[in-house]
Amino acid sequence: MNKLLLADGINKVKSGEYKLDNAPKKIEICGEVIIHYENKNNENIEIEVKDNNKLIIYNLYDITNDVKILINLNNNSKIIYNLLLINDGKNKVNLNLNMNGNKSEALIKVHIINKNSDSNINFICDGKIEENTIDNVLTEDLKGLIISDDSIKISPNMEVLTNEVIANHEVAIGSFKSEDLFYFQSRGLNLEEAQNLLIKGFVNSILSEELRNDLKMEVRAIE
Amino acid sequence: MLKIDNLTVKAADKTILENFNLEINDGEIHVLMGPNGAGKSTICKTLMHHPDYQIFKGKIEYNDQDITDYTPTLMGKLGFFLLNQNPVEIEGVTNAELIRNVLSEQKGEKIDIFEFNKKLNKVCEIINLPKEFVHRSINFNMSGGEKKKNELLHLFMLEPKFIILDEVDSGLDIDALKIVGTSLAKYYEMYKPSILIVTHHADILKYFDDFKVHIINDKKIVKNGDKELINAIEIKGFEASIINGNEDNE
Repeated sequence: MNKLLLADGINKVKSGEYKLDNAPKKIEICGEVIIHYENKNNENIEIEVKDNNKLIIYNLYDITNDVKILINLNNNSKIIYNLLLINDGKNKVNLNLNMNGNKSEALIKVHIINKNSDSNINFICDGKIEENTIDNVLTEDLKGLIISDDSIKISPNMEVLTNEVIANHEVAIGSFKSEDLFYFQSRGLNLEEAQNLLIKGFVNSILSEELRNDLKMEVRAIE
Repeated sequence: MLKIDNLTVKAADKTILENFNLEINDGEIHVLMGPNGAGKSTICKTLMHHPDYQIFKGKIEYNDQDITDYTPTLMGKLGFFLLNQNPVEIEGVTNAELIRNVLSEQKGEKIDIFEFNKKLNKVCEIINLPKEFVHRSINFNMSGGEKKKNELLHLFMLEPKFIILDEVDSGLDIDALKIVGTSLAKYYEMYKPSILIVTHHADILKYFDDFKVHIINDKKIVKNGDKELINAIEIKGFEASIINGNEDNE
């Protein structure tokens, strides 16, 4: 896998699979691209998927201050955004997605977890589909796992200015499912071990293998 | 031996088992049958101390130990294993992670990966399951038959002493039922556990030679018998079998 080295300003990314460590200001996708991106610096990011191109991104964000993520999709383009937010403190994250062209597709999958019991995060997902566009598909699938007294707020906003569109959103915020806990406990694990496995499952299920390895230390810190 | 003595159980303030009695000796297979809503699944979850089911009266003993107030964790540690008709799906946690965690908890030490893999290969062969399943998320995106085989993987790897099968045969096609049935029979032959089979149908029972049968109706066992009782149920149905069985009430 290539390591993507980015300069300041706009970076054009051609077809391939990349590991991204540092924070770019803007990425332009010009091909079929997979990016594994761990953002530890709380930088804002802007992504543009050009006409007829595709991006699959696995993005692990350590949130310690307010962050903005901007995505622009053009004609016949596609993005699958797998985003894990690990929040520390009281922060706001804005994700703005603009579908400017026709026949494009966006799947925004987000898992959110707080690092501490006094942390709280406000995640706003704004999906906008411009007027006079056709055949776009937008899906927002947003989940928050509450571990103790922490708080997660998710706003799945959609501004749809055309009728020729398929748009869905799903939000789930909650604690551990009692049936999942019972399942692990009845196998012989205690409550804490069962909860730790479920936290691991929640974060792992949205990340690529690449980022899971990077995350191991993080999860231990949450546990 | 498991001894359930005069058990009354409530869920959401509703009595769902009343004065329920049952004894299962070590190595015995018992079959619990009955119409829908009779309390069959309730007894399975009550035995595993599911938090939604509260024991209000009576006692549960296992090998002379009072386990009435046990937790699900303690039941698991004691060697009880519930195989559900519709096991939960847990994305992101692999079978290997769970099994290794439970085994190291059981043994109080890290498990030997070489031994683990050796056993895994053997088990996958018995239950006709590709080895890759061990690295898949628990029951996630699996068909009904695959989920049952996946649960059998846990069963064989963890080697429980008391197995509770809650309608394990429901939703299985003929081939899947055969694999589940022969695998369970093999497990019984290898480890001689006690087994409580809760079922609507007799299909799964053809894989076992010797077992006792109980009919549950209206929150308690109303008739006891053996294989012959299964034949009577298949011919006459539960209702007729229950009417003729009042003299067998415990």
